[in-house]
Amino acid sequence: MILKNTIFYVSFIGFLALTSCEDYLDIVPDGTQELSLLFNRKETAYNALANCYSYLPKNDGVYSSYVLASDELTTPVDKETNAIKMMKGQLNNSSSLNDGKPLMSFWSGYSATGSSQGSLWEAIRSCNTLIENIDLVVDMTQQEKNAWKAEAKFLKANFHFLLLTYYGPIPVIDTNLPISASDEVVRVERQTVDYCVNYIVSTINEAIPNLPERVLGSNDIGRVDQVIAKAIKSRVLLYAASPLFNGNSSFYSGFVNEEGTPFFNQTQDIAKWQLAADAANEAIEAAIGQGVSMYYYNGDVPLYDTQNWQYEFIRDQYDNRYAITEPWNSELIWGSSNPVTGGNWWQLQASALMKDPSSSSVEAAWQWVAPTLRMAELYYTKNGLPISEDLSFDYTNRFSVENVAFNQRFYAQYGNRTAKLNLNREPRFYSSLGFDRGIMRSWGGLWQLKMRYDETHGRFGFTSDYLTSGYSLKKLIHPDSEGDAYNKIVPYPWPIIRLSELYLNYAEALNEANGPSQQVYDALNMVRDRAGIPTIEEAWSDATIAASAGKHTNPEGLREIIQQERMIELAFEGHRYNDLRRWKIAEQYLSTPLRGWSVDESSEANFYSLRDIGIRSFSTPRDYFHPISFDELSINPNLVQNPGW
Amino acid sequence: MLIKKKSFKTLSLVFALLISICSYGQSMIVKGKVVDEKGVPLIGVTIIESGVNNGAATDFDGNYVLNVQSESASLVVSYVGFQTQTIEVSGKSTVNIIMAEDLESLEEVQVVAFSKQKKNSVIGSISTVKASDLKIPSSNLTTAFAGKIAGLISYQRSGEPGADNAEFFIRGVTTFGYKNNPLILLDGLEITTSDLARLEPDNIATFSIMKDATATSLYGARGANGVILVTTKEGKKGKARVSFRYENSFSAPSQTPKFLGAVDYMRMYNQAQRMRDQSALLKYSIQQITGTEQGLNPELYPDVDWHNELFKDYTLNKKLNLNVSGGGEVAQYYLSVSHSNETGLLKVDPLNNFNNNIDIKRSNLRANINVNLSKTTKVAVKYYSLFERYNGPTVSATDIFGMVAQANPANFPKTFTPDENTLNFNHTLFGNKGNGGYPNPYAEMVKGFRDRFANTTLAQFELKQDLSFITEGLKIRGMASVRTYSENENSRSFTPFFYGIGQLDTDLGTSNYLYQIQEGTEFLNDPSVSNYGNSNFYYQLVTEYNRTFNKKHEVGGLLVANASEALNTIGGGTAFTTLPSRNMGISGRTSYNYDSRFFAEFNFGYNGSEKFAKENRFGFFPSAGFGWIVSNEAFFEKNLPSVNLFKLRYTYGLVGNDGISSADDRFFYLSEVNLNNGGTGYNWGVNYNNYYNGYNIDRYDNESVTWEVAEKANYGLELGLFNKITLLAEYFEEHRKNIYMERQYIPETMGLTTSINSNIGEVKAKGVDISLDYNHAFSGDFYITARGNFTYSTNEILVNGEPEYQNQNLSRIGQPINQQWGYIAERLFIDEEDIANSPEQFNGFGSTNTYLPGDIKYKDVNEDGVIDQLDQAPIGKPYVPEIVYGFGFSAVYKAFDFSVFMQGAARTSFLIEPSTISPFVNERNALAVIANNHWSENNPDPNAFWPRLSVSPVENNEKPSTWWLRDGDFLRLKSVEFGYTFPETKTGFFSNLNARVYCTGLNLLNFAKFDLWDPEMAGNGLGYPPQRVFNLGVQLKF
Repeated sequence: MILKNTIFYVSFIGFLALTSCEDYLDIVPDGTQELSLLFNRKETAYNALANCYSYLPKNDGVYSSYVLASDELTTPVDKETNAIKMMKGQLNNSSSLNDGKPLMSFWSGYSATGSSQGSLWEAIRSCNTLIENIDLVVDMTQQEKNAWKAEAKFLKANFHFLLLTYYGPIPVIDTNLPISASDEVVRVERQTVDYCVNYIVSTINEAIPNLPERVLGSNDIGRVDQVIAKAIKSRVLLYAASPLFNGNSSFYSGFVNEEGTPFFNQTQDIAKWQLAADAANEAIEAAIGQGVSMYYYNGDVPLYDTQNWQYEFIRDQYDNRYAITEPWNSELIWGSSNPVTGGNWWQLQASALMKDPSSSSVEAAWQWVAPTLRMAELYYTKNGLPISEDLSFDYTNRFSVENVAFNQRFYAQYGNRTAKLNLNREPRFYSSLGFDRGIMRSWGGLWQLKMRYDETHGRFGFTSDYLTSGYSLKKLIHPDSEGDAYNKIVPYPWPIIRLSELYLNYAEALNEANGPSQQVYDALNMVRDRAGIPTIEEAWSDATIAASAGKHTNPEGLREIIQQERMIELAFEGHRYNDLRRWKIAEQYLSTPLRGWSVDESSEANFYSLRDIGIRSFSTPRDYFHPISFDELSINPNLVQNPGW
Repeated sequence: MLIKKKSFKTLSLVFALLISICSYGQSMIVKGKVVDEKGVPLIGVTIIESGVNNGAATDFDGNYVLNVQSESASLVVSYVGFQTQTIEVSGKSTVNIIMAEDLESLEEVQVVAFSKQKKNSVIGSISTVKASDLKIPSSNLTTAFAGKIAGLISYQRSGEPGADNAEFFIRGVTTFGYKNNPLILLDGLEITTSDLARLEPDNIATFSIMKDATATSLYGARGANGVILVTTKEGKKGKARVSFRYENSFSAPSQTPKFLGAVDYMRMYNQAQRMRDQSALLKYSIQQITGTEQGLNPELYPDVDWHNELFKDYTLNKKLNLNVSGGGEVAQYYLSVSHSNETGLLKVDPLNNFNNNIDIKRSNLRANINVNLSKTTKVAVKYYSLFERYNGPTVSATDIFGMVAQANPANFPKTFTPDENTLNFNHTLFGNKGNGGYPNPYAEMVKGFRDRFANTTLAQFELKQDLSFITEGLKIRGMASVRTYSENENSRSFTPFFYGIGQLDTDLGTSNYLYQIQEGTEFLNDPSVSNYGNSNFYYQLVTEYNRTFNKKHEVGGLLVANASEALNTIGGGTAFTTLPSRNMGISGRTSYNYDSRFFAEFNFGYNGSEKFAKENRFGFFPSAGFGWIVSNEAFFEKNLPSVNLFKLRYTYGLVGNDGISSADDRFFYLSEVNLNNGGTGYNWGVNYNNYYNGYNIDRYDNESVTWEVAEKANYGLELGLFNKITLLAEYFEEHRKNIYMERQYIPETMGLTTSINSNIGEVKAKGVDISLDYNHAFSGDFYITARGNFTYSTNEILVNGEPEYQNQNLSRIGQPINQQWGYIAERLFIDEEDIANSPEQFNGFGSTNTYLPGDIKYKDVNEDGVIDQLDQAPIGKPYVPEIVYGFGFSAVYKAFDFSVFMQGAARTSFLIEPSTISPFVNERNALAVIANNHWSENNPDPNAFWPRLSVSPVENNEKPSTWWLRDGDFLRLKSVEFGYTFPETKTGFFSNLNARVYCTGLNLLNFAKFDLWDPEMAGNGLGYPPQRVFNLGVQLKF
């Protein structure tokens, strides 16, 4: 009895002591920052939305730009960006135990000067977080919430697509795994390419109905709308129909998942091209319905060109150049509203911009990103034909020098001498590239380019900032950008997708699905008309000019034409690396040395001799996709490394 | 609080059978038998004639014979575990003595969690040390631990006064979580390692470490790393007893590294240049070298031994302790005051009027007062304050020792003698050369000083109430404690003036002139001030019940409710670091003991911590144990009388550790988010100016984060033989689970912006701790005690949250926690062909990192044809020793006493850090050993100590590898003490004065394979070395 009483007594004391314990241990004051607070109000929820967008690739920052990941542009050796290093064969599956992450990795993210790229898996998580939580916001209508959800959904699909582009089959992360997920659960597996594509397309389709038809508001432009979603869907389906992803048994017959299913479908499915064509058509119609149109210059005529405005060639120059650099022009479907802006030296424009010889400051013009000779050869002749196909063009002697004739004065310096390669080319050549003894519209004037050693625009002494090829880039430079102060560089929304790509998507897909047709020609001619060159039929039917006349009438010939048209039209916009790979022809381009003029020479004869300016390395099939890092594979043994790595 | 066993309750009376023969003043023979209360003869009892150095001990039958000098002699009878008695002979020739067990003596009553228990009933694993064993001539108590306490792994890496705390771990390191060191409680209140370090051994009543689950589970979530329990002395009824101690010691480095002289340095420097570059322009001219060799003008041809220039050979320290205790029926007191002065080895510049040497003055005051308010109600107040005044250099003295390795002997003297141009300057002309920027450690050392005042105060109030009126054996007590700490520090320095020396050719020959390299300040720049403070509060309420039924069934119960809070009051920090840390819970114990033979105990702790989510806030940690004193069985006592103790124990249970992360990483159920993160936002709008910030997650919320749990099993054996030898041997196993750690196997596909941690780590540990005691009195005036301790603790990681490495050499699983990783060095490269035929090392065939014959060749562990980080493998033994041991004896012969203690550590290794000692790099000093043993073309020894010389860093050789791995085992003569006790006088002013003088030597000898520096410093050998101390002391008691 006594013992029982004691126990009771003692327990009572213990109980008294414990009653206040919950309060005693609850010491964190309210209002500590927590993720859920983000979704209290619309104004703070914007941060969550901005966070999703922030992972979009930044092609206008020179160190983060995928534009340099091909053979289009190159730099001096000691200025190489990671993209160039990657193209030189320095990509590897490095682990954090060694020297960090694989170069330019969307899977692991990477840091680049000015604009680090977070892992796109983080991006996907950010989108899912928004989708899961946006309903908590109290001051938004349901319609608004649905629209935001749709935006995040589209972005999520887009991030999956970017990963698919660089890694092929990927795990699909439709919902966020909880932090407490066991290690078995977090070890996700890669899905087949078809599965991924279906997921991406159906996710975009789910998003479309809730997206606004078109966003043009001055505060909101840059956000996703239906036109954008349909345009990107067109690109997704085009890629999916392409040889790299469609029936790629030659590369990936042994690349299978745990069950033995090949990650890449093994037989080509022509129907995928039809899907791509339909999607392109749908996108074009949606775009046109919302007022998107091919861009033709309608701005003021600068004083220095008023005399020349009568010439179509001059007008073509303006059409082509401003189609990229004119902010929010009619052709732009989705532009990055988050450009690398004025004050930052790492913007791509600054590294390619020509110095203003009349200004003592060269702050904003580094002049070290140069188009390669290969790009100079890519553009058509003035007849709209490849230089090797145009009988009127002296292809064999294209590297020899000749006098600039009077009628060539609009693009070259009359009375001076330059390479034949630089003469008699299509307007896009002149609106995209600057060359020795050429003419350039920039810094508010007409400039005569002199690019040999120690000349006004050539290499001075042995500075490390110079154009290694003897060509300069015009296409990505806003004509009003001046090279003496960063804030004089005119920013523009980087074209993520624009209408001319949709026409090219349509033409390519339709030709692959059904062969040549007037619809294909019409689509191509939309692009060629703006470019200022004859139509397909006109250019390729005249046997006196076209070496292989009628090439456009057979599917293979037309495929070549479409591919070159695409490489020209979308040059320097970050497409080439992806296009060459999806066409499975990357090794033809990306494993041969780049060439350029001898920029360390001052005499004409020596300058116009070709030299190697950089290697490119591409191993097939290994380099068709990027490696997953060593660490990631150790961490998740369910992942299969891409073949060759 | 002590528990009295009923059978011992009758205190035995002094017993004398008298057969009086002799008259006063005559010597006579006294004999008799000494037995305990049960009549069992006691062996080895000391019987001393009071005031005379004359004594005897009992034999196996408990008999003694003593020739006393006078019939009126009084005999002092003492025996371990029994009350000491003084018996007047009064002329009797046979004096039989019954000894009463001393329940208050340390040996019989054991401090346990929240209470005390009779020692034989304790079944948990607890090591107790006598405070006197922790007395060494050091003002840091923690430095005395190594080898003295079975179950404690301890080592000391630095000897810098004020920063020389030893590391110590109960039963080794058994977690790789955040907190791996024990909970330290002083009179129940949690204190820091530094607080513990400053305790005066003189004031310590008991010092125990609690090792197993039964001993620690009452501490619940704080006990998994073991508990150190210290109690301070309390006053006892009686007249005032005064104890006074004064010590004065000489302190010098135990070992100092040797560096090259200037001539050898310069020659080798030139050699090193040519080793890598045949055409290098030699740095030191023949003229410079021969000039130095001939001892020409030392300012032009310096040969500086920086170590001598900076440091004194020894320094003097003082210590004083005075304590008084006593009391009456109502109140008892223990009062103590002590003062110490500890100084460093740093020299002071004669031109400075401030002191840049370490000079620490500490005073502490303790008052422990017990008041009996009534027969059943007692109040206890404990108060302790430590005041510390620190003066020292502006940089840490350890860094100054390190700087000696950075400067070379040939560059310049520490200061120049003023010439006619500088004669009247009121500043020191510190040496430098060229355009300056070369390290001059002397200037760094003397350029300023730092002073600090720190105060620690502990205050405690306790109320005890006997509740026998409710039921017999029930008591309750409540306690409230507070500890505060504050420190204020100022650092002041001037900017040194640096000078160089130049030579001028004139008609009269060359003349020297001084030129100024750096303009300094002749005044002290503004001080930099820092403040820091924290405080702890602790409350506990204890209900206790002890009762014996039917003389055989002894029942005990204990229930504790407690709460604690820790605050960072000054020091700033984040929102999280400034919030208090709190812990609360209840704990309990029930014990049962049958006839002092069978013991059973069940304990638990139930704790809550503010760190965790509400659902997981409280943890329950039960433990149970069983003991059997076989020697108390009747059959045993009969058949094996010489085995006085044979006890078996087993315990098992869970204990927690809530110290799983630092203070700024708490509240695991909350995320840490920057909701307005500029870097991850986006612009919209025509003019790209509708910008919204993004957010960034620094930590994901995780409600499930909880305690670390240790599952502990302990097997104990206690053996006592002949009342002389006591063996305590224990084997333990521990399985530490729920270790909070990063889940490294979270793939990128999770899309997390930061790593996530959770309770996944697991470690298995096991080990042995043994202590062996031996006491023997050869005769009354010669007795000897010897003691040995041995602790072995090893562990392996079971779960590490790591990726599934393809190469097992990278995995930590199966490896000890403190295992070191590095490359496996095979030898030095023999020639170019050897290099060409070996795997490429660290991209060395490229341009950035080249290597040559004579550089280190590594093993391609993963056999992938290249040497890179994937080739790292576990090398050597763990950094924390797996074995720590100590042994020694003390002997008393008449008035003289002598003791020796040896201490060692084994199964440990460390890495020399080559980048800190590689000679000539940045004109760094060169260790003498490198001169004698390095690779060269003339001596292409592929196993030379130092690879091919170089004057620039050789990345290839500076990797952690077996090349730099050294055996950290050592055995040292830790202490030797020699003392003399003056005979006690019975009359006069000094009556009853007990005086002892003694001298002590500390760290006198080292036995180790490694000899570059004190091996206990491990890889950190160029710091402030552990000290060798010679100490003189006097102790007075009256």
